[in-house]
Amino acid sequence: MTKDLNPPDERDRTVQRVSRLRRSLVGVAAAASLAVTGVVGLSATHHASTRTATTTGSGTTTGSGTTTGTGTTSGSPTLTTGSGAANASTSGS
Amino acid sequence: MTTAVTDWELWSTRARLVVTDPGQLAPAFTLVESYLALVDDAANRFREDSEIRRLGARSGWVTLSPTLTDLVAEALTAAELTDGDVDPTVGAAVRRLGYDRDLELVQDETGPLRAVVRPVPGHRRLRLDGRRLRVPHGIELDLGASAKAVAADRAAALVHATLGTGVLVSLGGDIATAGPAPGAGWQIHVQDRDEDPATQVCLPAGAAIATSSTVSRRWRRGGRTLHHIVDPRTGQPASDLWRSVTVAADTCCRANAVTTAALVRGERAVDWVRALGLPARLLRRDGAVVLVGGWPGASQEGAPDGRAEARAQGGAA
Repeated sequence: MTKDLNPPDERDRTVQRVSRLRRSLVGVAAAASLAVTGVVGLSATHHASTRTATTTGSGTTTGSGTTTGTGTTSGSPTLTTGSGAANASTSGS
Repeated sequence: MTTAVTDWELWSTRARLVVTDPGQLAPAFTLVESYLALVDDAANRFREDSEIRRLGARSGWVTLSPTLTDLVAEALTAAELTDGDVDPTVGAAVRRLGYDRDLELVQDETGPLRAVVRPVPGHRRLRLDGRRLRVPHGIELDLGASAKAVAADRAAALVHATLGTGVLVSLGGDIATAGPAPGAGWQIHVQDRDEDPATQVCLPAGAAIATSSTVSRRWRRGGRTLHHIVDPRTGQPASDLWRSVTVAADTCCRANAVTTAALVRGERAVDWVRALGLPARLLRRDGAVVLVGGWPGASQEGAPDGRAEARAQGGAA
């Protein structure tokens, strides 16, 4: 069965969670709250503007030609052979 | 360098938080938990009160929360990166396949399968303008292919930006890091299933790694075994040529988009991943391991196709 959560209860839970967050982070509470908003908000703004620019043209251009260009992906990290205790595991789930 | 770790259950999988400053574990966990709750409120399609479920009853232009805006934007970016092989409009297809609630509940049922082979609507029918999203009638969004990775990226960035500690966030094996790493880097064990060959890599600070699998998250319907990686061109589970694919990238969003698309692309995946220049490890159905790009042990020269780099390793199913 799909979980049947009561929306008002859920809102209360969210409010309690945020309150707990603020209580827990004495000294950095304001920074933490701002960071939640900042990280999400800034990212959304950044990508939204990118998305707007991209999708504006999508109706008049063939997308496959441009997306094939993703072969120029940047930001390839340098991996080395690992050893010792693992910090985490990656698996498909 | 001493690290502190905490693990917990999340979204039918395991989550892990590691920090390089043990004294920051508790506040870091609070931050991560709070952010993930926002993600759950926004994008959990198994909750009737989530924002994405409420979107299903609407069409036209809708205003999204900042969190869902971010998740949708990244889903559309992944769709562009993969030429539509990772597509957020697979919602109806996934639901028809029976994956319409938490996995444990799906696996408890073995009802009939309503097999409909047709392309999904496609991400280009969506338009995101700021926080406003245009959703044509009948399109069901499913961000399951990208949301965990986005959440891992954001959670790691949030912890480092707020607390200054080095951090690793793993959400079901989608791993993002931020800030300083312990020692030479983050030690990552790479293995999908217990019966699969394992390896370990050292991931540099700030990098990410993800694995997608056609073996995990399986269920049965109509006498068929299904998995959760849907080919948007058919609306059906992708070929199981690859058991799993692991990719490292600068962000978990990117790594995860490539792993998922590689499963969908089948034989074409090796050349595509190589062209992207990302370190990758593909485990074939027959147990052969194909190492690509800067993955440790991969050939850096020649190798016109993936078979030239294939190394059979023991223990594969």
